[in-house]
Amino acid sequence: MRRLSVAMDGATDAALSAHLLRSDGQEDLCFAMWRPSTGLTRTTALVQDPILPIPGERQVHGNASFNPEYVLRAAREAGQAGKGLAFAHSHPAGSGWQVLNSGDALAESRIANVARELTGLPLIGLTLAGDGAWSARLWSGAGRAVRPLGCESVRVVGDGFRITFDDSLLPVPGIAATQIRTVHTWGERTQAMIARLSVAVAGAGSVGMAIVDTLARTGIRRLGVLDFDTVELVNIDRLRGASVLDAYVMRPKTHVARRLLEEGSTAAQPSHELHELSICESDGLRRLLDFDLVFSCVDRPWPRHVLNTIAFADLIPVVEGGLSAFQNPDRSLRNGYWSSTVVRPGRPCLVCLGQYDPALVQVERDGSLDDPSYIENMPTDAPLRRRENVAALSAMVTAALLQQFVAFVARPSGFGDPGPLRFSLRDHTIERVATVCDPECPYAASRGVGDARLDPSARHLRAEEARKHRAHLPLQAGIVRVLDDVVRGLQRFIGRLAG
Amino acid sequence: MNGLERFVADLSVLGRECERRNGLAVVTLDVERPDLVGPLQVGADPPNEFPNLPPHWLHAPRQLVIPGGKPHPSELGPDWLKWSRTHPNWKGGANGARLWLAHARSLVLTATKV
Repeated sequence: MRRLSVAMDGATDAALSAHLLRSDGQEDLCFAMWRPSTGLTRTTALVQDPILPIPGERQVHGNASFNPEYVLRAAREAGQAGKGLAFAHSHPAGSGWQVLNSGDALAESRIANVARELTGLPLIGLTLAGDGAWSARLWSGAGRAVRPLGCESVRVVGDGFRITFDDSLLPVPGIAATQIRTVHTWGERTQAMIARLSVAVAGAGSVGMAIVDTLARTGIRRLGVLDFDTVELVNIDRLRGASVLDAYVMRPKTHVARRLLEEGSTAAQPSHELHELSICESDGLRRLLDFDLVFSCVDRPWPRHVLNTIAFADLIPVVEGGLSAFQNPDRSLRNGYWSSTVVRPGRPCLVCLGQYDPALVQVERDGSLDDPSYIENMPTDAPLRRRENVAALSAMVTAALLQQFVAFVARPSGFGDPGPLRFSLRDHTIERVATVCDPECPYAASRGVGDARLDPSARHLRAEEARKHRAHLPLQAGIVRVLDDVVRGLQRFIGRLAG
Repeated sequence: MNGLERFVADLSVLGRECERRNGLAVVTLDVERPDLVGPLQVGADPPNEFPNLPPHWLHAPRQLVIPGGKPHPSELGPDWLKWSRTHPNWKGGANGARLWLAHARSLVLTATKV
């Protein structure tokens, strides 16, 4: 069965909350619209565009009730906009995830058929508790057979990340002995939230691999890693967990990531998804849409474009960073910069931040960036020609990304992510980047469009070639790989005996 | 609407003659150059995500040499060559066709004729 979830941006949450959480403490209700975002195993309803009642359309009397005219107006407006209908009401005295009671279920079931008939999409029911926690369900079926299907989570992507979970679908994990120091730092509630997030890491290079290791040790249960590449000798100086042997037997980077996850995870029942895919491939993109948050550990324009697209279109926040180092004429280090941000509605997109050139996406897509003669034609200072990377500098980018992540999800003292930051190695300064999106920015304008986004995925020849190349391992290397698998299997077995 | 269809429609709105040929858009430019008499046609390959993303190649008649790197064979035939000349500051959005037109015109103006 498909997993279901709901997401909304901070502006939608603020508008709905302002209406539903009344100063007189009474319940209230309203409608909104939603659009689907379809991943491989999860559908997310992207709630947007509140349709607030006009006088006479609903009555407040401790509880709240609505007139049929309000339902019809809201459903027609949603249908005309090509969107689904969501019905929201409040439980001002409640806190946390609200279980659907029989009265609310009856009211929503009466709207469900009208919503489906006038919009072509099922009704989404939402409940807002007094502490700002959302709960949600999707009304499936038709006629008398309508029934609510539970959504596993509702996330609000605003100034800081808020998410509520249905504990019956995603139970609060117990605190393991290996997590005690972590829990002492930010408390059980934050740990219960972070541990249940589903987080993907796009790109298992020097930064990505360190992020994977850190997230596993933090106790995040559901982690995904997407990378199509193979470990090579040139990676060994900075790729955590990788060895010369991995390069010799042409291990995919996701294999090394799996080892790190297995060795480092503190979650009780971890669920690790390792995919030898580029996020630019259709399958990779659909898998990415199954996650609540993504770390961008990629360095090329096309994958950055994919992530920039889903951060706005699918309300999946992307923690992104980059490194640039500059040399003096004698090739000594002049300065290094690393930048970090959370890409999401309300923050600048990666194009407006200058993190990649959109004109180069198509250049990468048609294979030109993998053509040495094409690269030779580029200016010597073009970012795509520069190959600088040092383990210590990668570690700094990793730290900058994790700083953004912790600020965004743990929200120390209620503060969320700081916005785009830029660090200067020579000057030892941190600069807040004040960039905002261009008024015409197509990414910012695509907020919440979900499946109606312009599809950024396509065939990825480099990924296909990498997988094909690994499939033709020389005989001697193949034997060494089998022996390595046996030795590592024994190590795991001994580890289990000890644990 | 997006991609090639959107590119052709947007250029038509701007009063440009634009036709589809071999999966590309062929646009007629009016370039004020004494050595190029009459309207000049150039080709573009708008991606599916135009106007979020710009076309990559500029296809031009073989007699034009556009500075800044070597050409490649064009899908428009032997009388054409394609040049990798990306837009230097693409912002996308509603003005995509206008931005590309200005870019194409500036490339043609700096080209030499052989």
